[in-house]
Amino acid sequence: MDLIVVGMNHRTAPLEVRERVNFTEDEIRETLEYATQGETLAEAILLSTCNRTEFYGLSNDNGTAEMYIRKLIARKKDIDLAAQPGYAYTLTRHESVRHLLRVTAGLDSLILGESQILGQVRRAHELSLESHACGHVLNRVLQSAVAVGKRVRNETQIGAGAVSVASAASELAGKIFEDLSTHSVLLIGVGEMGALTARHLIERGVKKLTISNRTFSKAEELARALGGTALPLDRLEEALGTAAIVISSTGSTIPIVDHRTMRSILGRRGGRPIYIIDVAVPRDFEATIGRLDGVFLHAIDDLNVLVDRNIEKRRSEISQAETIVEQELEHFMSWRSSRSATPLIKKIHERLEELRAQEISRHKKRFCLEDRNQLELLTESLVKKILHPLMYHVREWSDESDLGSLRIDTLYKAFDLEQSDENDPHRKPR
Amino acid sequence: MEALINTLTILLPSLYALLWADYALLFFRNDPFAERTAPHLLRLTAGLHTLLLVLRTIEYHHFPIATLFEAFSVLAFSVIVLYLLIELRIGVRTTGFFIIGIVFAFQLISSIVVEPSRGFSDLLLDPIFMIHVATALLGYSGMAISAVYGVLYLMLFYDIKNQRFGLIYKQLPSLEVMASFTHRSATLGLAFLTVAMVLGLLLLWRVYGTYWSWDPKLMVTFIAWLIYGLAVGASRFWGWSAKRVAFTSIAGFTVILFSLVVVNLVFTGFHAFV
Repeated sequence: MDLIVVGMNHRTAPLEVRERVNFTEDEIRETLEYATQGETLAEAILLSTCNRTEFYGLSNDNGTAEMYIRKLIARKKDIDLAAQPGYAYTLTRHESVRHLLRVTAGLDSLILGESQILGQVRRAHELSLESHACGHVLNRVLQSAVAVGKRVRNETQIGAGAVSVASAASELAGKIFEDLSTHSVLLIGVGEMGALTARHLIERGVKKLTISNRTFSKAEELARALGGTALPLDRLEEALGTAAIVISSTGSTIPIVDHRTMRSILGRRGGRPIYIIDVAVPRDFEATIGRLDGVFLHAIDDLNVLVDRNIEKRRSEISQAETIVEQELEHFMSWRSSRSATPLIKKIHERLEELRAQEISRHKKRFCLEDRNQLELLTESLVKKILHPLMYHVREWSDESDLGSLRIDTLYKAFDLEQSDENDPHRKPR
Repeated sequence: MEALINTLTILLPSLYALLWADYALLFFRNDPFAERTAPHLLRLTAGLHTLLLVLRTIEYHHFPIATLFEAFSVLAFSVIVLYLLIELRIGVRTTGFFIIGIVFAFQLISSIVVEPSRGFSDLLLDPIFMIHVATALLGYSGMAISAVYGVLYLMLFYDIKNQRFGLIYKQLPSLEVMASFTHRSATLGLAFLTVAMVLGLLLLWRVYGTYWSWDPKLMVTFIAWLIYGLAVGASRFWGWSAKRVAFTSIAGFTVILFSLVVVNLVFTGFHAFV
């Protein structure tokens, strides 16, 4: 049986297509249950995020399986995949496993190294288990994928550092103030970037948020959405006197705070530092304010310096992450090959031959020379007779999914044989 | 016992050098081996340093502060003990490289030049004098740590201001933590130095019958005490920024270094034995 993936992602399909083929959790359950009821797919997993929809399956015939999955997606989502052949891709065998490992490592993500995908892959695994669509093989693939996801994030820096302007601002705020929950944030304007930065700060623990805007009702609306309080813009100076972090993203064409005003505000702050994140274009705070003592002022370009540096750092970790992917792929393929008939039959044969040789050597003195030859022939024949039905069944089981795999496991245990991947001294415990 | 003292005297700077190298690996490379070994090596070194000071006290019948170089070793010891406490409290090891560098320098000076002081003033046996010296050295240690955190604060401060997101930015804890340690260590140092100065003036009255002397070391220490008093007080009452406190702390420690080295070596006075 072989593995296959049919999918589309942010590189192959535009957003409007990805939106159409996105599956909700209920749809995933329903699709997986349906897909594994037929003869084509023995096991299936469906990973559907905002950047990708990928259908993994285990089948006897990859050609048939590919057509089946494509038709299934087309029917469920009412989309003609054949009309745009470049949108969907198909990978089979070890290439499909490598792909999932790379996806889980964040190597195939829109934002390199992002960690959300690991949780999404775990959830896809859970949904497949709930739908009884995840068998022995895909279970093992998912275990390898999660192991890669964890190792890559623990052993490399691929997920380190902020890679968006909003998260960079929030990272910098955390470098100035130790505990953000004890500091207040003032958001000036209701621009998208400002609101996003405020959300990042809330995620980092900020509890007190004040929103000030020229149109007060809009400030109130955003305050309700973010859990803050609204403040009229004419009380801005008062708010600047107390806030520790200020995010500004108004649409003003001239600076709303000048150097002189800020200097006078600082005089009332008693030495407490203030961090101003000015994401407005044109800027809301005069650039010279950044030179004042106790003021940290970062405009959008300053934040991009940190973002670029972090992206560069993440890129430098790619080769190390790819090495981890290859290591785990090798472990998986080694396990997979142990599921096939040939190595098991070979090992059982060797084991029986070993036992035969031991017993003959132990008892041969009891037989005369002529009888010894007969004994050899008799025991060799006995081994062949034991092996023959086993060979037949093992070949049959190796083509099955769950039950066959369990039977193969049982044989390994019954004959006290070693399975290759579990004896690998380099294997890391999961 | 003397053989053991000599061995430890040679061993200690080597251990401090090793410890410094371990913390350097931790700071520059986030080395997992250094991460594991540094806390143990720190405890071992501090433990052996304690043993050396105890042995010297027993062998030479006085606390080892009879010479400038013995005092340097005690100073290194008190800085390392204070740093150990800080590390246990904040759990951040990346600042250790900077503190241990100073400790290593102090102990190296001490070990290279130290000589057993067999002849010493009776004052060294006076408990008030012992407390005077111990508190003075603890005060200096607090101030040394404050100055190091002050330097680190300023480095990170200017890196963030000028968008330099390098090693300092990556490895140091937040500015708030650094400001807090600069201030707290300065306060602790000031408190110990205040006790040391009060006891010193008491000893001055007992030995010389006067509460004041134009002794160079007393004068320089008094200036350092004023500087740290300004840093701590202005931060508390006048709302001085952490940056100003950091600069003041560095200035105060420079005066202390001057007091420890130049005043002791160049000028003479009743502090000649320390």
